[in-house]
Amino acid sequence: MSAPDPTERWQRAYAQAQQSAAAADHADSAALLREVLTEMSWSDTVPGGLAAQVRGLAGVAALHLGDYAGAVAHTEQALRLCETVGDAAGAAVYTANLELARLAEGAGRGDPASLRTIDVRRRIGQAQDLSDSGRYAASNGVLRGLLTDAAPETVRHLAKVYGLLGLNLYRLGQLEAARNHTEAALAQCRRTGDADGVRIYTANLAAIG
Amino acid sequence: MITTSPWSAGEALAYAHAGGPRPYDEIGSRLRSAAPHTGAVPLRTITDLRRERDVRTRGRLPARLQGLLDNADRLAHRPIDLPTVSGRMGWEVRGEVIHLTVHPDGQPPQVWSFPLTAPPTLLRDQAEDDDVPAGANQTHRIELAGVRWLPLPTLAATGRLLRMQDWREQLVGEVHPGRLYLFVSHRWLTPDEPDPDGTQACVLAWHLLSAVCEAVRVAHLRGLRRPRRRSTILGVPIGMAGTELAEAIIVNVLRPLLDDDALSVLYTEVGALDALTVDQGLAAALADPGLSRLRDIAGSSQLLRAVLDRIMLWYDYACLPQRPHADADEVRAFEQGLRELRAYQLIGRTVVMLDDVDAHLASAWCTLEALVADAQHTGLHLLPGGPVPAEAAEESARFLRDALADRPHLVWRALLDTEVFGLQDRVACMARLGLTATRPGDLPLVYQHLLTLGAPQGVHVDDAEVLTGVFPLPVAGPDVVVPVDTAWTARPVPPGGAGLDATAALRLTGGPGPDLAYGAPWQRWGTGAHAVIVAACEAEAVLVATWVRAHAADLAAALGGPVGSLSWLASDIAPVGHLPGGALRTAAIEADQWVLLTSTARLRHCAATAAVVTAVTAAGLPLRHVALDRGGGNVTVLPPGDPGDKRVRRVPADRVRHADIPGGIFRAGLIPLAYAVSGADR
Repeated sequence: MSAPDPTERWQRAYAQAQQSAAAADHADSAALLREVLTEMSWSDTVPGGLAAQVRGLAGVAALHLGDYAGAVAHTEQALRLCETVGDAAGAAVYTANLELARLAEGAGRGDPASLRTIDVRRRIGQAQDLSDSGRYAASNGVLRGLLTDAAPETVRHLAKVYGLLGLNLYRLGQLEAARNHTEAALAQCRRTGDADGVRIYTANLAAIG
Repeated sequence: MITTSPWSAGEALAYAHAGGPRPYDEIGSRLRSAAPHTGAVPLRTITDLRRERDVRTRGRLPARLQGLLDNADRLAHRPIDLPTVSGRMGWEVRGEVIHLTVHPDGQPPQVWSFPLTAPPTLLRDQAEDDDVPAGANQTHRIELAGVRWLPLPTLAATGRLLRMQDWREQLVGEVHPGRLYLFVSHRWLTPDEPDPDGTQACVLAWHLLSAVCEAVRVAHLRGLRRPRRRSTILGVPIGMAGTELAEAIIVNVLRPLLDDDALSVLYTEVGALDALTVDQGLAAALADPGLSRLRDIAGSSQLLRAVLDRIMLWYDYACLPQRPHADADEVRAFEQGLRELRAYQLIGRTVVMLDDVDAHLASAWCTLEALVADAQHTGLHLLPGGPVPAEAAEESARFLRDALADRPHLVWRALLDTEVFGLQDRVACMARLGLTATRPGDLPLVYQHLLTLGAPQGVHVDDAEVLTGVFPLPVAGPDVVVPVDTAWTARPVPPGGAGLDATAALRLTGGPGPDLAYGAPWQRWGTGAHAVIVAACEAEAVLVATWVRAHAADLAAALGGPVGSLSWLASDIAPVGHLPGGALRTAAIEADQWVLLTSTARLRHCAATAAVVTAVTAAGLPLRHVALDRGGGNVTVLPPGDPGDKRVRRVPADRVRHADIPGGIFRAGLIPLAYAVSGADR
């Protein structure tokens, strides 16, 4: 019997690592992926898609095992490989994972910017919960607090803050103010190239009238 | 003769039951492990759920990271409404958010996410009123001798739960409209005192205050008299809605008590409590031993106090005379109370204080109370029974709900093993169910209560059901009619006409067991209609078969003619009990009249039942259904079938290859087996 093709072997090991991850055995998953990565590093031909998947899953395992620096390194490589092979869906997933891994890594080091970013995200989440439960004025209170604090990390989420203010004001019947804030959100999305934001806030402006 | 099938359940059943009587849960888990085929929603035992919980716990990210991840969905942009978009649309509800995915032609998919509280117009237009039902006390005069209720403000004033005899004068005996009655199901943390450090009392009081605040907010934002709405597309409440407990407070207390102006005032007042009630009052409860803060809050608002006055609790230690009893009257009151627990529970809704879900499920009393709430659809509200983080409380609540989904089926089979087959005594039955009581002397009483619950009303359908018994194939002229499809027709089932109270057929009395001589899966004793029983398990089928034999005259009167033969078929999602037959065989049956005896739910949802109905009606034979779970108006003439129905095959009697498969088959194999019996390829 001939030895299996390396790619086939890596795919099999990757599938096994996925199963271990699904069973929450991340140490086993990480060990399997480490072997695959070692073999891949010796090989001249590695399929880009598979390499990205292996790196991405290794990043997830590292996150679960608390190795945040490792998670950042693996996920950065996964993202780069996806971009190289033009895998937009993979790139979107690893962009989100990378943000999470960087924040966790920064927070673990006590990095003030990471801690502020986490706080901003938490407060936006709180504002969204308040809005979802019909407490629109209270939600706006949290959002205005964020704008007042003017932490540099808020800029990253400025469109969301303005957009949610606009939605809350619309629900409160303050249409003029709702329109102004939604326009600000839309402008911010155009500036940053946020296509989802442009689509949603354009629709919101149409709903506000 | 067909004697084997790739879908045979024989080996799996042998493995599951090997080694003598095991705990029922373990048998179910072993069956699932050994089954070569499981469907999308197989049986879930506590053993399986524990395994799944372990995986979830291990897979959970460290708390800080999990928090970041949980926030990710909230950071996405949110639309006000869904604009006019063309393209295929899919939807998913995750948590409290609906994600609509539109696939416009030639463009990448677009996701539009809305909170369930503010859905797009498209979903709002496809919704119907769906208030929680008002308690029986709102419309009926209820008198229950000896029952005592604890008003919530009395608990707040005392700061802890006292022994019933220590606040007897402050308890309330009458049941009035305009109040919400809550039966509190909880564990006793010591043999003599259920709540030695007062934590349960504080958590309960603060949780109820939080629910009142939520009810006031929801009623104000939605409109006091406007009912909750449920999406007919998603099957979940949409628009402004609260938890089931908050909705119950709106229906049973706020609407009878308040007008819009008073509600507005109260809305402003409870707004000041937002920070305290954000986590359902758990943190505030733990910081308020003795409930002095809650007392101050209740005392500061007449309106709030009036609402709290109308929330009445039943907590065993606080409402039933406790040991040691002072005299014979107390003993009598105590025993009467224990006998009438179900009645107390049925007046209102059940609140479960969940401190340790594994211990809760092992508690005979707690299990009984959960099963009563499930059987009577009285609503089950879960709240943490102690200081646990929110995610652990959520995990426990999820575990309990999942466990309760199949628990009634396992309990029913255990009771049938004991009462129908006499395989074990009651103590062994409770032990095999893993049920214990702080006072072992309570177990016989709990067992008696479990008996009165009868068969579970719901059915759990899945490809992993095991079919045993006799599959009846109607004879039509020279042919035998074999069903090769289990799909239901869209024809509506007409309402029941004549009545025959057959509910006793699914009830265990605790008296002498049924005559097993009448339990065979195929019997003929005279001329007349053929009765087909489709049951949840073999023991249930035997129980119904013996009822049919014992009530032949009543049945004949209701059907307008005698029944002369019967066959039974078990479609068992939890084959953990004794299987006296343990095989599936087909039988060609000649009869001019047919009667189907099964539950309403099984008639609607069971694939094996569908196959029987299709075969009999397509054969052109009259078929009546006797709903075993209804006391009257339960005999229905089912619509005649189509002689050209493609869901059956007509096979000359001498060409039928009958089946007799030891161990029966998994339901997934029913249609392939039917094709083999008909001698045709799929």
